[in-house]
Amino acid sequence: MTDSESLSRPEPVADEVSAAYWAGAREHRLTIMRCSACGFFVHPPRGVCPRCQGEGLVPEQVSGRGKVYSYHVMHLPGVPGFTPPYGVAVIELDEQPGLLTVGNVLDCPLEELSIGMPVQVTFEDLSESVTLPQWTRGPE
Amino acid sequence: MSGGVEPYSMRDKSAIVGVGHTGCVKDAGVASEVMWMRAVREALDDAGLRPRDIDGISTPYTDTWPMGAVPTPFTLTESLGLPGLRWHSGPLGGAYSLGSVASAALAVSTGQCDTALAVHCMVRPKRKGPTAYNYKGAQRASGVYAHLAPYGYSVFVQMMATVARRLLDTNGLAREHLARLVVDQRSNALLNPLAVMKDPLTVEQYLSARWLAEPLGLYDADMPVDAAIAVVITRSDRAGDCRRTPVLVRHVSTFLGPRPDWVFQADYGELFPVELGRDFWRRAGIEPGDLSFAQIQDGFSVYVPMWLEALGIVKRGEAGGFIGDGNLARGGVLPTNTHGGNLSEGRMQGGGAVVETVRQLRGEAGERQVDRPSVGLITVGGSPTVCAALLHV
Repeated sequence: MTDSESLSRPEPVADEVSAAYWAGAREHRLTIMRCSACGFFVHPPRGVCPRCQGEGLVPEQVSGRGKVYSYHVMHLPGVPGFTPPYGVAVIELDEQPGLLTVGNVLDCPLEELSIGMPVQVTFEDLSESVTLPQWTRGPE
Repeated sequence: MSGGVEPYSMRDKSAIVGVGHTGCVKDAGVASEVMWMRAVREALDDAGLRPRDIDGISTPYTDTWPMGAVPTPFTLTESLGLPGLRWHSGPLGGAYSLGSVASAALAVSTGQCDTALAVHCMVRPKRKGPTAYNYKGAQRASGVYAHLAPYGYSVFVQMMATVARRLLDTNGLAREHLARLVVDQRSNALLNPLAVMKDPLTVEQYLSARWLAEPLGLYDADMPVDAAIAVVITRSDRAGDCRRTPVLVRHVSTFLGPRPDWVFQADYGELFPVELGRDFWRRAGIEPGDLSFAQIQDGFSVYVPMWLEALGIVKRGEAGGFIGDGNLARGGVLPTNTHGGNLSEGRMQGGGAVVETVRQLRGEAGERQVDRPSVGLITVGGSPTVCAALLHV
């Protein structure tokens, strides 16, 4: 067992802009920050809209549907709590072109990962207090 | 200046007059200060200058109290016995080697100092095993990493693998194109006595190598080494007094794409907006077709197609085919990474590329010499820190 495998996987720390995102995940809701002035979705969460510079970013529950934008299969034991090989996907959410998030497609064999594959959000409870948005294969 | 419409310009106001390079090895067996001072002495000797001719210094790191064994303007001023400096700074665009050279060229071009020294030193991690690459953020991930590390995503090679996957599947790139690039560069390195890699590499070896992060394999990532480089830049009106043919700095640019990472950027096919790439040539007064060669820093193989397209040397989606047709090989349309690149000369974050460009333009590149070159391109970085320069004789 390598050092990295003997450690538990990293847990996300919520901050003032991401608190609503992680609180939503705890309740098994995927919420993305949206600008109340111009309607632009922003992820990861931040304090100011990069399109109109407005400060009114508010969490909005989204469909939880998207497509794999890109992915890789990690073969190095670089990250604590992960045993290679494992896949990591970048998901483009249906709500807006270029709105990307990251996760693992939990029910997909590594060799079947592909760009454009439809995915659906699910939730993985890491502990009493931390839940991760995750992904499963979605309907075509 | 007519009509006030000409852009302000740094064109040819500074020149590289000295270079030093220790060569890339897996273990230099000496303190890093010894390495970088060897490169500095070589560069000064190459220029025919003495330490006291230096009145400006730039390095990738500028901490007043360096915590690691890296060269800084402070340590170098002391090492060279200088009474002080007119100017010091860090790298433009954070792009380490070339960024420090570019920063020094700008300082000389704008009269901050007359003769500047840029230095870069790399030390290979000596601990065995994968720990050298390990995630340093421990068990709690904050900021953008909160959205990556819990999914097992925190090592840089993963970022470039994800970009590569997108380019391979949607942008006309194939692993066979990257294989051609990597194998050609290895053959260049075999003609470069400074290179760490001494054995030939075949396409079959490339394609069957173990994965790092699929689709990037062992030979897509550069080779960590011990090495140092130093570059002396002076006013072009004084460069003729130096020992060698001056290499003029035509133009430098530090591009930025729309996001500081390669994860949440909306378009993985765009290193930076293509209009910025077109503007680079306009400001320089040089066309891509004028290039005699290019040194495109290849921390990962995929940087090369990304830069070819970002700078408009080829159109989007065409870099793979351009590479696959052998255009970057010695004797090709645009000989590229003629020293072997970071992949085969060694991980100098583009430092070797700067030295190679100068030696090619002076006609000192031995068996790897490009036929009568006049203009060379150097790029360093793959985002967010990217820097490009055009040098000529």
